[in-house]
Amino acid sequence: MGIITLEKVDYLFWLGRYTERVYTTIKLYKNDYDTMIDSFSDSYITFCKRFQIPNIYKDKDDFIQRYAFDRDNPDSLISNITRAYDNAVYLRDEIGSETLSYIQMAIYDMQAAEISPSPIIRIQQVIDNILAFWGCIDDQVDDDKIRSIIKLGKRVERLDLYLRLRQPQPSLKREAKRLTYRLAKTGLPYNVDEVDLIHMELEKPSPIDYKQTLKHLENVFNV
Amino acid sequence: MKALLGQAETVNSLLARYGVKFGIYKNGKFHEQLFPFDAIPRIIDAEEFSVLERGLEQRVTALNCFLKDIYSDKKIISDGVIPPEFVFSSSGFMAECDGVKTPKDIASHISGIDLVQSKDKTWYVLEDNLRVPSGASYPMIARELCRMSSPATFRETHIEDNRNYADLLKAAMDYVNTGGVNVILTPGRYNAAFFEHSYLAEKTGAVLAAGNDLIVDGDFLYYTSYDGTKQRVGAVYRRISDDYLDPIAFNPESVIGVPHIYSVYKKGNVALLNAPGNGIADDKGIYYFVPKMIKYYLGEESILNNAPTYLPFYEEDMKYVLSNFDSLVIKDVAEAGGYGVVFGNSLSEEKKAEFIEQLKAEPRRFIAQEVIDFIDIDIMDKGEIVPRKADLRAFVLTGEDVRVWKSGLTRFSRNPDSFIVNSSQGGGFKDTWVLSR
Repeated sequence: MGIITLEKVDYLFWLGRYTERVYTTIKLYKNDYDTMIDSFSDSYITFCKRFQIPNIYKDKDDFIQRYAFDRDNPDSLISNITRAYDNAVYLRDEIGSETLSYIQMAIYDMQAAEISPSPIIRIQQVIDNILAFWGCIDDQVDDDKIRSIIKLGKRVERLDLYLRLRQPQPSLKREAKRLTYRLAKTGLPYNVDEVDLIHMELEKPSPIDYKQTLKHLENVFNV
Repeated sequence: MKALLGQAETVNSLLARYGVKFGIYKNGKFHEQLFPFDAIPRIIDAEEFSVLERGLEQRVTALNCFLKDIYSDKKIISDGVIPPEFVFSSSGFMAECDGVKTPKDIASHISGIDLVQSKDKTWYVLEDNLRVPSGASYPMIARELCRMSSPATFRETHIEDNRNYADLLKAAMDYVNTGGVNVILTPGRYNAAFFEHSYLAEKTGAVLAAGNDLIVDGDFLYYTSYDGTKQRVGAVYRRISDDYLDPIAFNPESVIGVPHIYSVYKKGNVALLNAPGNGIADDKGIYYFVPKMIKYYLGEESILNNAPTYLPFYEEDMKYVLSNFDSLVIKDVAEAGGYGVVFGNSLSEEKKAEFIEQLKAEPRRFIAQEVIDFIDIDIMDKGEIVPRKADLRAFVLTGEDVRVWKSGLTRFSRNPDSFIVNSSQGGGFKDTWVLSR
C-alpha cells in the first residue's frame, strides 16, 4: 500500500463527495424537471429549501436552466461535476486514465445537455458515467485505501444530503452504517463519539433531530 | 492509412475523453484546451531514422560532456573552443551548479531535440531542449488510440512501437535513483503540461507530487503521508524550472519548489532529472558551438547539421547579418516557445531600424539563422488535405545507455503562412511513425 499525502487525501475525499452530490441531485432534479414541464408547479422553491441552497432563480425556467448549466452558480450541476474533475485531475496516477475519463465524459455530457432539445436524456448519461466511474474505482484501483477514501467522501455526502432531504429513518440508518464501515477501512482519524451520536440519534423512537444529526456528521472529522 | 484517416474523428474524441490537453495563459487567465491532433502521421523510414538516431545519440552525448565540463574544469573554454562570454553571460549558466557532480555524470537525462527537414530531405537541428522538454506523452497516447481506432492500419504497416517511452523514462530514473521512490514533481494543475506530468506518472509508476508533498529531513528527501509516515525519494523527474526548484538555493519567492532539495542533491542523496544548470547547454548562443563540442569531446564530425547560424557577437557575422537581414530569422536567446523569433523580411523599415539598433547594442542576445525552407507535411483541414510547416521533436533518454525514442512529437502550424509550430501559438500535433523495415 503506497503512501498518500494529505493533499491527495483531500482530493480523493472531495472527489467522492462531488460525484455523489451530482448523482443524487441529478436524480431529484430530473423529478422536478418532469413536474415542471407541463404544470404551474413551482416545486423548485421547495427543491432549494430542501437542499438549503439560495433560491436565486426568477422562475421555474430560470431554475431549470441555471441550476443545471450556469457555470457561475456554485450550486449548479455543471459546477459540481467540474469540481469533481478538479479533484480527479490530480489523481491520474492513483486512479488511472480510464477511471478519470468517466468524469471528463460526464462534463462533456453536461455541456451537450445544455444545448440539447431533450436535456434530460443527455443528463442521464452523466449519471451513467458517474456509475461507470464508481465501477471503475472498484475494478481498477488496487489500493484499498485510495478506494476507501473516495467511498468515504461518497458516504459522507450521501448521509449529508439525505439528512437535508429529511429522508426516512431506514434509509438514514442504512447510510450511517455504510459510513461507519467505510470510516474504519480508510485508517483516517475520526471522532468515534460523534459517529456514535449519529447512530444513537437515528435509533431513537422519537422523531429524528435532523439538524443535530447533521452537526454530528460535520464534527466526525474534528479530532 | 486510409482506414486510419477515416477514424480521425474517433481518435480525436478519444483524446478528448482522456483529457489530452495543454494549458495556456491568455490575458493573465489560464485556459485548458485540447491539443489538436492530425491523424496523417509523419513517416520516417528505417534507414533515414538510423542516421537520425546516430546523430542524436552523438549530439546528446556531447552535450552531456559539455555540461559535465562547464560545471567543473571548463576545458572547452580554456582550450579556446567556446569564448567565455558565451558561457558566463548566459542566463542558463548557474553559478550555484559549479563544482556539483551529477549522479553518474549525466546532466541531461531527457533531451528534446527539435529538427526540421528541408526540401532536399536534409535534417537540421533547430534547437536543443535540455531543461524540461515536454511533448512525448502526446504521440504516445495518440498511438494507443490510433491502434484501437484502426487496427488494420497497424497490422498492414510495420511501425516501431512507441509505447515504450514510459519504460525508457523509468529506466533513466532507475539508473540514477539513489535509493527510494521515483517522483515526478509538477508545478501543479495550472502548468501548460500538467496532462503530461500526470500521464507519465501513471505510466511509469512514479509518484506525482507537488512541492509541498516533499520534505527534506536531515540529508534526505521524503514523500510524506497524511499521518506523518515518510518514504524516501531516490529520483525526482522535476517538471519545474531551475529557478523555482528550491527557494533556498534559487528564487526565494518560489512557492512550488522544495526547500533544501538542492542541498540533498549536492550531497548525492537524490537524483534530479534533468540536472539544474542545463540551460547553459540549450542556450541559443551555445547551440552554434554544438558541432564544435562534438569534435572537441568525441573527436567526431557532427552527423546532424545545425541550421546555418550567425553570431552577431562576432564582427564578421554581424556584418553578414546586417547585409542579409531580410533573408534571415533572428532569435532572442532568452526566449522560448516560439516567442522572440523575428523574420527579417516581416519588419517595416521603422521596426527594422529599431531592431538593428537593439542588435548592435546587445549582440550576445541574438542569433541569426538562414531561413530553412522546410518541407510541408500534409494535414487534414476541414476534410481537405493541405500542406503545412512542421517540425519534429525527437526525444533522447540517457540512462545506462543513450536511447533515442523511435518516434517523436511532430508539431505543425495550422496557419498556412506561418513557420511557428508551437502548441502555445495554436499549432497541432501528429504521431511520428518510424518504419521498422
